Parts: sequence; C-alpha cells; structure tokens
Amino acid sequence: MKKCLTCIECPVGCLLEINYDEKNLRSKDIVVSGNQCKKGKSFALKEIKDPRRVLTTTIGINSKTYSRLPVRSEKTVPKKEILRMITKVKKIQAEAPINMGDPIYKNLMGTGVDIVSSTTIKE
Amino acid sequence: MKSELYCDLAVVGGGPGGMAAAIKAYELGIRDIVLVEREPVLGGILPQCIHNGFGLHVFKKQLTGPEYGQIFRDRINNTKIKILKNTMALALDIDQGNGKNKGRNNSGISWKKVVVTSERRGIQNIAARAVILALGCRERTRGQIAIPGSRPPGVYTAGFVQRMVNIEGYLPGKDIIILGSGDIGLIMARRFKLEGCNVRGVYELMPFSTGLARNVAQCLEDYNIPLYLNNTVTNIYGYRRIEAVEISKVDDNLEPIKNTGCKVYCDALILSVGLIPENELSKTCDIKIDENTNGPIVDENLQTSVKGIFACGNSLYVNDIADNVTEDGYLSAQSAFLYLNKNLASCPFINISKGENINYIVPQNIDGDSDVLFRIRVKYPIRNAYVKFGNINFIRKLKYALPGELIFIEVKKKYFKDLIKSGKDFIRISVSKTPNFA
Repeated sequence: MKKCLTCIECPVGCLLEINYDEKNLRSKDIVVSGNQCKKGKSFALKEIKDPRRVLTTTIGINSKTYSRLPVRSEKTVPKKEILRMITKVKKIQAEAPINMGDPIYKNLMGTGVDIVSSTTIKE
Repeated sequence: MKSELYCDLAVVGGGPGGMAAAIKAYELGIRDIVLVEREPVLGGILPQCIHNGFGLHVFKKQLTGPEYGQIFRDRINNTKIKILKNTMALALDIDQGNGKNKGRNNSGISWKKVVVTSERRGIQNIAARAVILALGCRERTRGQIAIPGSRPPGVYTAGFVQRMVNIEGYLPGKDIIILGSGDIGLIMARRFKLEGCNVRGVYELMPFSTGLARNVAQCLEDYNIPLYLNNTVTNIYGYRRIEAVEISKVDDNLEPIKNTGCKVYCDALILSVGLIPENELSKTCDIKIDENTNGPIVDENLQTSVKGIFACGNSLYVNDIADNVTEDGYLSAQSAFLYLNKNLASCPFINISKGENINYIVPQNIDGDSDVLFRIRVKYPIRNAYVKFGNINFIRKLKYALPGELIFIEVKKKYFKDLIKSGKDFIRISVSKTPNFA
C-alpha cells in the first residue's frame, strides 16, 4: 500500500511517500522516502502504526489577571482520542498561583499522560 | 516635565525578538538595558499561541507558545534589565547632542532618543547609545483586501480571534469561514474545531496554501477541514450580524470569475490574509523602509540606515516561526554590542538585488566583511529549485522553494572577496528551475 503524508516534525514539512503492507507493520519492512532527515522516517512509522499529537487547549482559572490558562498534554496522545479528551479537560478549573509544568490532570483517560500548565500565573 | 532615562541600549518591544535581544545583550555584558513593552506582560503574541511547535531550533524540543515565552520571561527576571511595561514608544529621534546630554556621554557615540508614554510616568525620554527595534507586525484587515458587501459585526482577523479565544475566553461564532490560508488561519481552523465549532472551510485566493505545509496537514487534514484553492470572498451578507458570504472562483490573474459565486452561510468570517511589519516608530526618524518587506533596510548586522539603530523580529520582515525571530534578536544584540564597543565596521556598499522569483531578500545590502545569512522569500513555488547568487557564482540547490517557507542560505566570507576586488557593487539573487545564470 502507498500513502503520502506531510511530515509535521519541523517547519520544513517534507512530503513523505510510504510503501507498506497493511498486514505487516514491522518497522524494517516499511519503506519511507522523501524525508530529508531521520525524524521523517520515525514520524512516518508512527503515523502508520499509532498516530499521536500533543493536545493543547485552555481551561478556566481563578486569577486576578487572567481568565484562561493554556494547558498541554505533557507527551503526545492518540490522535483519534483528542476531541473526547478535550471535552474532559475543558471542565477543569485551575487556581492561581500556578507554575509552568504543574500538573492539572493526571493520567488522562488511562493513557498515563498528564495535562500540565503551559505558563506561570502568579496571582 | 519630561523625565529623562539614560542607558546603553534600549530595546523597543517585548515579544520573542525583543526578549531575545535584551537577554543576549545582557549576556554579552551590556548592563544598562531598558526594555519597553506596551502590554502589561512580556511575550508579545506568544501567550495567545497555545499550540505546540515552538522551540525546535532554539531548544531542540517542541514547546507551546506560552512555554516558549515563559522561558524567556524567567531568564529576563534573573537579570537587571530595566523593564518598562504598559509603556508605548511614540517617536525616535537622533539627538544632535545638547549640552546636558554631552556631559553624560564621553563615549563618542551619539544619543538616540526614544520618546515613550505610560499611564504611571507620563511622557518620558529614553536616551540610549544603541536602539533595537522589535516592534512586531499587524494583521491585514478587510479594508486592505477590499471585500465588497455589507459591514456587519462578525468579520474578524485571525490573530485577533486567537487572542479572543485563547486569552479572553470568547468564541466569535459557531459556523466559521476562514479566508486565507496563512498560518494563523490554519491554526485557528483547528482551534475552532476543538472548541466544537463548525468550520465550513478555508478559502485561499492563490493556487497554493500560503501557510506551512505541516500546518495544512496537522490543522486541516487531521480534522477533515476542506481547503479551497483559487477561491475568494466576493460579498458579505447580513446587517445585525454576518449571515453569509459569497464565494467565487478566481482565474489565473486572481480575478473573480463572474457567475461562479455561491452563497455559504456562516456567523463569523475570519481573515488570515497576511501580516504587515509595524514601523510607525521607525518612520519617525527616517529609517529607510524596503517596500517589499515593509521593514527597515538592513545590512548583515541587522543595522538600519540609521547607525546604531538595529531591527529584528516581525517588524523587520514577517517570519514563519518564532525561533527565527529569536535568532535575529540574538544577532541584533551582538551587533549592538559591537557598535557600543566601536567594533562594528559597517559600510554596506554591496547591494543585494532581486532577480527571478524573488519577493524579498534580507539583508538588502552588505559589506562582505563576514559570513552573511540571507533570508529569501520567493514569489511562487518551485520543486528542485536553484538559488543563484549572480556576480559571485554561488549556487544552492533546494528540494522545494515555497512562498510559505523562508529560505535561509549562509554564504561564506570568501565568496565576496573577488567581488570586492573586481569593484562590482551588487549581487543579484534569483530562484528558478535551471542552474544557469541569466
């Protein structure tokens, strides 16, 4: 099977061509071309087997200066789960003070990934 | 009465460019630095860019905009840089040196004056030996692309709604149409989708996306948002609120084709139709502006046509990613440091001229005394392109040359030697499919 993808690992955005057999997803049997660095190959493999993205959104915060707090998933999460995860994350209300990297929600939907604050809000 | 503030370096603008410039200048040993920011917080647009993809060059990892900004904010807070927040710069003036100023200045470097204003301190003069301009950019609006139709509420620019959604916490509508495939438009298409809006489509006048390919992939394709190329908005309907737009196809000259119009319902129209470097301040002291970048004309040290005033960030030219802004911020600080130590020999007599398929090039002139990083924006996309530097016979082959992705090419000093000997005073850069010089 042939698949064309744009690599999203960096702003270069290489156009990748991936040739593989759906029944055999062993990394060494998947042929990737068009990439200009090794990140392209590993991105292509991940996209075929288990596409993942970083989740980013905002949640409410009790603070003197801000009404929204930007948050992110500390690591990537399965792409197909992102919309469901966001509805869950959106319900959380944070409290100032908070530091960048502070966990907001631990082990999101059993993925083992934490949602953390993207910024520092002192008050 | 106006109060006076003296310093070695004044940095105007506290976004990614200005913060990088101030930090680098401090690290190099300039101690007397003033950083002027009109918002109550440092960071520029970073706090509203909540998506990831920042920091790949500078930190070798993927950060969100707020994180990228917070790292620099923390670093600045560990220095003695004087930060003037809530402060707006109004004018620049090259001081000819009155008696009072002269007494404080025995360095032989003239004072540049930055006139600023704030609610707390009123109008103030900052006298600085060197100035770095990191003024950012503005969005093009409906008026600048002249969309016909009624003028209802509900027509916004993409960066403005980004702030509205991510900082203030309001949605501009539920049924969204985006005109223009600039990066902020693509990012906001995904953002609206994640907030539960219906994004009807992204419409682009050009036959290609003007944003980064990776943003088309991760913002539109990931969420099945359609991208319509060679289409534009030719009418806006609604009175109390936008109700619909008319979308028309355009021909090869980008002119709307009659009778191709179709009405698409929406309650918000988001414009992502380009950015313009902000240079009202630069113009107050006759800094020469390049009509293609809309930013100051600079040499390889990012020095403007006024000696001792440097420029970086999106007020110099519109960058694709914040990391590049940071790098230019560092470079401008390095140059300001050399200038303050009278080690900046700059007589940029070699003109960089534009050949085939060139929208703009920064720097616009160089003195060929050091390696030069050229930043090149092409007009139209080419696969397997040759970037040719006429007069110095330097060629670089690229897999892609795309308008949405700035091309960076460093040319070593040795290539300029023969040019300087031969007495020629320009290098003509072109980008095309053939390796031959025209």
